[in-house]
This record gives sequence, C-alpha cells and structure tokens, in this order.
Amino acid sequence: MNMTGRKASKKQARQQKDMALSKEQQQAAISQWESLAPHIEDHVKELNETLKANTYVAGTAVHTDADVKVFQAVLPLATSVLVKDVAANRHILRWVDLLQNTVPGLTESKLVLDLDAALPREIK
Amino acid sequence: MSYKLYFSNDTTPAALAGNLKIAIASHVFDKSAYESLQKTAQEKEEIDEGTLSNKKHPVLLDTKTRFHLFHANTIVKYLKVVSKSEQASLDEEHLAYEPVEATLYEIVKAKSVSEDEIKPLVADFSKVDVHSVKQILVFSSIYPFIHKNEDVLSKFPWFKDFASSPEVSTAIEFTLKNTKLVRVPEKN
Repeated sequence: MNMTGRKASKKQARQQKDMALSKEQQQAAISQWESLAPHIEDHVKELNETLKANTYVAGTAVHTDADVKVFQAVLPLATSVLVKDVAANRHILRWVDLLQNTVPGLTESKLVLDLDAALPREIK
Repeated sequence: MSYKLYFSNDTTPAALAGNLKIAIASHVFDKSAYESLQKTAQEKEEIDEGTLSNKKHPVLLDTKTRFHLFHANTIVKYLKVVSKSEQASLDEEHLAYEPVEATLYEIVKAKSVSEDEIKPLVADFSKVDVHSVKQILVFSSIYPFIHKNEDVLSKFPWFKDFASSPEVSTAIEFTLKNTKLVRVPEKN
C-alpha cells in the first residue's frame, strides 16, 4: 500500500471509530474532558492513558473544544513539569505537539520537544 | 444499549461521593444500569485497563463499543440524557459543565465543608427533585462529610428530605454497604 493509501485507510478507521459512538457518547466524552480541564493537574495519568489510545481527548477524528480547553490548562504544566519525564508523559506531549502545530492561534510560544529522544519501549 | 457500572474501589471521601452519584443517578434514570452496578459490586468485579479502571474512579462502560466514562459527574449527566424515562433528546445543556461543580470539587478535595459553604449550594432547592442533576451532585458531594452530623443536618432539611426519598435512600444504603472509607490520620 502506498503512502496515500495508508493515509486514506487510517482516516477511514478513525471515521469508523467515530461512527461507532453515538452522538450522546461523543458529547459526553467531550463534556468529561471539559469538566476535568480546570483541575487537570489531578488527572495527568488519565489524560496520558486516554491519549495512548486516541489521537484527541474525546476519541474523535478531529480536535474538539475539549482538546482546546485541556490544552490551555495543561500547557503550563507540560512546559514546567511533564517535559522532564518524557517517557511517562509521552502521549500528552505528542498530543501537545500535534495541537500546537495544527490548530492556528492556540499558543504563542510553542513547547519545544526533542523528537529524536530515545524512549524506553512502553509496556502494553 | 448495554451498560455496566462499577463503583470506585478507593477508600476516600471522593470515592464515596462519586459512588453515591452514580448509584443515585442509575437508580433514578436507568434501573438496568443500577442492576449492573449491584452485580459488579456484589461480585467485587474489577477492571484495570488505563482509564477503564475502577481503582480510583467509578466507571460506566458500554459493553458493545467499549465507550466508557470515568468522571462521576459526567456519568450522572449521561445517564440522564440517555434515560428512556426522561426522554431527554440530546441537548448540550444537559451535558454541559455546571458552575457548581468547581465549588463541589474543592469541597471534596479539602475533605471538609462548613455550614457557610453549604448555604449557597442549597439555597435554590426549595423542594426535593431527585431527577435534578444539580441536586444529585450537591447532595452526593457533601453527604460524606455531614451525614453523621445531626446538628448540621437539622439546619438543612433539604438534605434529610433528599436522603429519605425512596429512590435515594435505597441507593445510599447500597453505596455505604459497598464503599469502604479509611480515615487517614492527619500528620502533625
């Protein structure tokens, strides 16, 4: 399969995942993360686990308001604390990097990540 | 849809508050979800897969799609939205963040509540409405800290009335039976 084919099937898989969830479920997932955003420092582990299985926090194919709210809440923490333990917070940092590079106007100063850093393999 | 509900296995007041929320909401909005909660609690069923873990949080799981929620307040709202008896069509307002949640979060985190903090929270509750998400959240968040304090309870009759409504009293009894609270001694 060529690059375009792989991209298309990835997109299709994401859309199928979205379709598997009802409208209420998608909205509830968004609401859950919007509710957790104000005290995200208490939910870093859950955020990392969620992003381990999903591109975006609510499991959607594209970013939602929940991603924006959680991003704005977690960015200061990511810059000061999470970045010091890339292995433990790798999924949050990957998602921060994705959002800051794809959502216009989200942040003025970007979090700098060493994308070549060697990380231990994650135990699944 | 087929849901499974799990109590949090934690031993903190936050776990009791979360467990009360989902027990009351499922008993009020979705009896089959409540039955699943009874089953998972009686069989001491545990799950431990990332956010799908009931070690720290209660969990709602859609057994077909594996969709799950671990935030008790959102589980309460979701159960209301999908409830057949409520016939609530999807309305973003039903799932939206309630401003009162911020205050309740601080109370649960601080593990204590004063009468002055309770007053504004219950001021709007002229009568008991067990179908009100706000009343379920306020009651469940504060209950762990005052339910043995007759002096405080006597000043807020809404608490006693809410707790004694048939659907709620059953859910409270069941939750207390299945949530172990461990008091952590304060460090000097």
